[in-house]
Amino acid sequence: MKWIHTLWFWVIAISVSAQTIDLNYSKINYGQPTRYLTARSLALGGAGISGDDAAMGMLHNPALTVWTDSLFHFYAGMALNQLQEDRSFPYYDNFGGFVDYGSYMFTSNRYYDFYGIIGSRLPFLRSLNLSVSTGYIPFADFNYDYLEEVRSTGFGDALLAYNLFNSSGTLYAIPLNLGMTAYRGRIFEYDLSLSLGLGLHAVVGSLAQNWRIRVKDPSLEHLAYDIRVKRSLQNVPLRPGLGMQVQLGERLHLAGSYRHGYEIKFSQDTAVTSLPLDRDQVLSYPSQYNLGMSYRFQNILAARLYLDWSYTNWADFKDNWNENLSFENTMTVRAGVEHIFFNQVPFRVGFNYSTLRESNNYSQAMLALGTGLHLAQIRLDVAAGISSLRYFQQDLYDNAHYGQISSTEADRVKWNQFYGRIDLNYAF
Amino acid sequence: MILSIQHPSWRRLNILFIILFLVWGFTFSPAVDNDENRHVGSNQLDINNASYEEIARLPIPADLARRIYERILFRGPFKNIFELRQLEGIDQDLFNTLKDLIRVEPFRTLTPTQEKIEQIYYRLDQWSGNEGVNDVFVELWIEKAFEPLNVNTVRYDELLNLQNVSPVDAAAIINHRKEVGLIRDARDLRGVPGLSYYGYSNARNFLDYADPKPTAMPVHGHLTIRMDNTPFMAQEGEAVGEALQQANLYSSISPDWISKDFNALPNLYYKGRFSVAGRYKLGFSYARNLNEPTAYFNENSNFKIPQMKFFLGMDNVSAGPIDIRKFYLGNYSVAFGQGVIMENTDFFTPRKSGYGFRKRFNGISGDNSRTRQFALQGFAAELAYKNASAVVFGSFTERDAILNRTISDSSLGRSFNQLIVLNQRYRYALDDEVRGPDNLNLSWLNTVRELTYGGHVQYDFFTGTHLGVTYYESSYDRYLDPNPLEIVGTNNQGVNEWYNRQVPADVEIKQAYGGPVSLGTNPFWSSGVSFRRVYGFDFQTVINNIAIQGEWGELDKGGKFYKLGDNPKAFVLSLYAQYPSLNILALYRNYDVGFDNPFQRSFSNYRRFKGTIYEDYYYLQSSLYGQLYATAAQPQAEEGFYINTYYQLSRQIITRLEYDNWVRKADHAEQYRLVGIVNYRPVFPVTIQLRQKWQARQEQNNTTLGYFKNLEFRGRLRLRLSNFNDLSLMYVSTRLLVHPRPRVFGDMSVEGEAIAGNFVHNFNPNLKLSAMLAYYKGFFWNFEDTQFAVMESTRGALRYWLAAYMRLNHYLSLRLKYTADYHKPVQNIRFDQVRSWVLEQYPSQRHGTDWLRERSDFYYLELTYSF
Repeated sequence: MKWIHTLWFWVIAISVSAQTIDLNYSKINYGQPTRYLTARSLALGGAGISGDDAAMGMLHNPALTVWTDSLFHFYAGMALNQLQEDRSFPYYDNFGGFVDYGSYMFTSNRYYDFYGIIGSRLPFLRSLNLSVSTGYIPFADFNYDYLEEVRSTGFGDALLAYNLFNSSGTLYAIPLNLGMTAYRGRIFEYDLSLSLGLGLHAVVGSLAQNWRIRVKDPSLEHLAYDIRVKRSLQNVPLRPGLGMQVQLGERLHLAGSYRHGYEIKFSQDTAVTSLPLDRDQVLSYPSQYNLGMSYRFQNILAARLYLDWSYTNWADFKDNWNENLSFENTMTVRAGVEHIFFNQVPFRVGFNYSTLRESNNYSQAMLALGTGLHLAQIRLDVAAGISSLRYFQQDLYDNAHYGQISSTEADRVKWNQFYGRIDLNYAF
Repeated sequence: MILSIQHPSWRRLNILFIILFLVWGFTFSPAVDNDENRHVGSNQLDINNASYEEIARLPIPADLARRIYERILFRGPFKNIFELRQLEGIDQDLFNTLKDLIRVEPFRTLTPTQEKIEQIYYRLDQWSGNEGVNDVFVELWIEKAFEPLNVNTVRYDELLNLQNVSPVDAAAIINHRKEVGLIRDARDLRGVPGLSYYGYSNARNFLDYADPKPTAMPVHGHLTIRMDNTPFMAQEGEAVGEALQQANLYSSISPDWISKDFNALPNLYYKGRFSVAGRYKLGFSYARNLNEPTAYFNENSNFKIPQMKFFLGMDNVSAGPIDIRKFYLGNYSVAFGQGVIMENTDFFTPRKSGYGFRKRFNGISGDNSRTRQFALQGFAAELAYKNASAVVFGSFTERDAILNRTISDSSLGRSFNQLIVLNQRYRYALDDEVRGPDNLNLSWLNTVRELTYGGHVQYDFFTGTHLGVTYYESSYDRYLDPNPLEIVGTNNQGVNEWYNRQVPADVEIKQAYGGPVSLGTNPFWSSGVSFRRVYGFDFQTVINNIAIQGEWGELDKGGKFYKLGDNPKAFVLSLYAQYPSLNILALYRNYDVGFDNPFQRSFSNYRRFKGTIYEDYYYLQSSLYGQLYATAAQPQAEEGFYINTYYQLSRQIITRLEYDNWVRKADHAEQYRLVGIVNYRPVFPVTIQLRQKWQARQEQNNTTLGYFKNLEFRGRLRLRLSNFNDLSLMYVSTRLLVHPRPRVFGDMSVEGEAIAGNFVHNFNPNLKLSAMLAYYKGFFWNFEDTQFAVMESTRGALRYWLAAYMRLNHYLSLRLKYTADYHKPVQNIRFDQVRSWVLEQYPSQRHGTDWLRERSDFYYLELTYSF
């Protein structure tokens, strides 16, 4: 049982050290908020809070709901998030000199999600562009799979055990966004229109974790365990947000939005009674501010540039099971360019740069590319993005338990992430 | 955008910067719809200049009117009336109706700047690609492209600083102008006798044929934001990795000072250069390298200002009979002659001959380059009176240096060992525990204050012929003691290994300038305790099609000022002859080992300390002291003769030959390098390029360990397709012969091979996509879009990149690039674990691994705004 306590301590203790960070534990415990919802959004690096598409505003700016331009507008799509993980340790020559990092675990996992959005321009008070939208969208991703082979360093490399844990599940949001154009006028020689939006995300879903050591060597049977944990929401987390968009002339859009913090309460249901699960885990998620602009240039391919800047107060994040947890505020910059080829085919590239909540000494960049086909009322978009990240983490399973040498130095972990999106939208 | 968050104030400053950048960008965007551009003619509607309301009055549905209006607004004007027909919703009948009601005025007036940009946009793209370490140069070319020099008043020295313009070209232009009085246009310029086509085709981008029309305070500028995660140099990255390992960075107990210094953030470079009325200049830059901590001007303040460079300057102002050609405050660059005495850049360029792509910008310029260590900060002025001109400069700044542990003298305090160019400016050498804060707390950042002043006086006898004298003196507030025992590590007994491990090339270390000879006070600065003084002369003459240049420099070590050669000296002499289809450059250089001048950047094949123990960071007290060699900007001491020819045999065939034969002074190692290139272009769209390199050291004495021989073949087939699209295929084969231990192993031959395909597709002038796919094994270098990449893979690797270059409007462009590099994995790497002492001595370390996987992903983002 000491084993299990130690293990649980690892799970909840996010390192506060500046050099090592525990991105995998952070993801399975607190989730990774959705950054790129639709194919168009991914292709533009997640930028677009000042865009012209109601779906672009689904995550960050409810004011974009006013861009729903028919009585019934429908989006549906599929998302792929692939995570390739390579964990390696430093190894040395016989003089104690560092040689390189040798990998001991390599996994590649794909996680799929689906989303749907329905929007409507209400058929009354037309001058206000009164619009409403709702849907079912991925809100935070908790999916992760860890699988490590433990092998003897002796002759034959005998397989001793498998260390594995996984977390599965995505929290989804059912948003309700309302948008209206509140003001139209002129400033200098430019037409000005101001749209406002209010949104509320209701979060639903359930998650599961599995912690397991599968022993292959009978002499290590005492190490085996298999714990299944079901994490169920004990409340309906509500995340309110508000946003605005200003159109200044025909080329320039400016936007700003605020998303309020919210609280998630999980109950943990497991057969293991000795774990400290007598009280619910309460997670307080922080608020977020977004600013953005887009500009349409005069260009043969009708270029449009989107730039967003977002700031999240992750330092306010709290977990009642881990009072010592300290995240840092993060900043994200999203930039994307869209070119329209021959009216029907867009070409998009995007870039996303953000610092990590686990430590501001780390950052992550993502590059994306996308295209699509725009027919009269149907639009099909596809996008792909790639991102790579390297961080350092202490060895998760001490080899000394298996009679091997334990490592005091941290492992190097490489995460290569691939994102794919395909979606279809139809305006009736 | 391209920001790092390390401190709230820096974040605020970054945001402010971005906002300013954008406000600037959009404020100065073209006002396309101004009334002057309207052509009001007959009762037909000028569709390209019509408002939406006017278009809506045509007999068409409102949504079609909107589409027509937006087509013009966002994609630009119709070129002809038939383009209307391509719009959805316009059939032949409607088109026939509309045809009579509207007209297309195809030509829209562009502002002079827009027009200029449209002419040279592909060059801006190219220059950005060629930037490399010549960032100051490229900035100045861009500035001159927007503010061309009047060829009828331009000075010889201004022409000489233009891209690829040789002294012969510059003199030809000036002499011809004197003869004919006026060069009216490009055609006249092309006809200048003695001006090469190469010189002409480059110079014409920067030249105009009259003074610009007077407009109210024209402002031009060039802003760049760049972010990428490409390591500067693989070997150095390795050294940093090793230093981090040794410092036990990744262990749970790590000293605070490392955690404060380490991050995993990308390279950042912001720069801007502005010119007002063609005369007043200002600029700034900020550079932070991969994984390095942010340095601030005011470390302890609440509102921290990152260490940026900036300058204010003024060009070409008359003060009575004296012309003030240049006056700069802040950060500036200076270079004279052949770079023997003074050229302040952090970057070493091999074989910097001063010609072609290896030019140096002579004189003064505002500095917004990535140079940080050898930056000059203060004032610089260039004055001229008739044929005489003088540059004076003064700089007071702090430099990075390795401080000595031992206190050599109680009154002088702690001495410094060597100035060092740090690629990543960590506060401490990560693995040097002796100097680290737990012990002596000897940070190497900004540890030596330096006052440098000097000047250059030149007399021009006639066009292209001058004689100049250069002098500079640096004074330091610490005693200079380059004792190698302070740097070369000790063994596990605590015994210094320097005496056992010396190699002949280490003479360069032993003869480093310092010690008692450097002791001296300074009349202008009471804190100055040691000094370095370098002086010499340079000359240039152009006789018809031949240019002869030379520079002599001496490092003052107590010799007489007027006597040549009694101090350590350096000398470069070059001769350049230019014919219509042939040019030849011959260059001789001879640098004494003792000529230890940190500002020397003259012609050389290798950096200083090449082949010395400083190159072998394994033995150093900190592996990061290997940067004494790895990022050294100073050339090694060598004597040699170099010849470079370019010969166009016919329209189809161009040959180049480069031969260099030299001796490294420190160990008398004889070396040669021979490169032959044949460019065969049987028909215009097809080019076949063959390049072969032969290089060897100590070939005549090939039983020594110093022997190596390198052969490299590169063949390239380049197909130019329509619309400036380009497909090229490349094959590279290399061979390296060395003697690891001749008695035991005999020769060792390392072979490499690479094959690569590159494709560039221009969708139109506003969007370019390019991609490359390569397989390589061994050592491989290549130009990849805007980056120069050097790779090595012992097992073979696949590499590809994709890049998009987008011009969003006349002024703003964005470049995005993704590169991936996958090495073949290796299985089972084992060291001897059986010997028990290994495990006892390093109980927590592993000595084998099952897999070694190497995969790198790089990104590159660049946003530029030129106006």
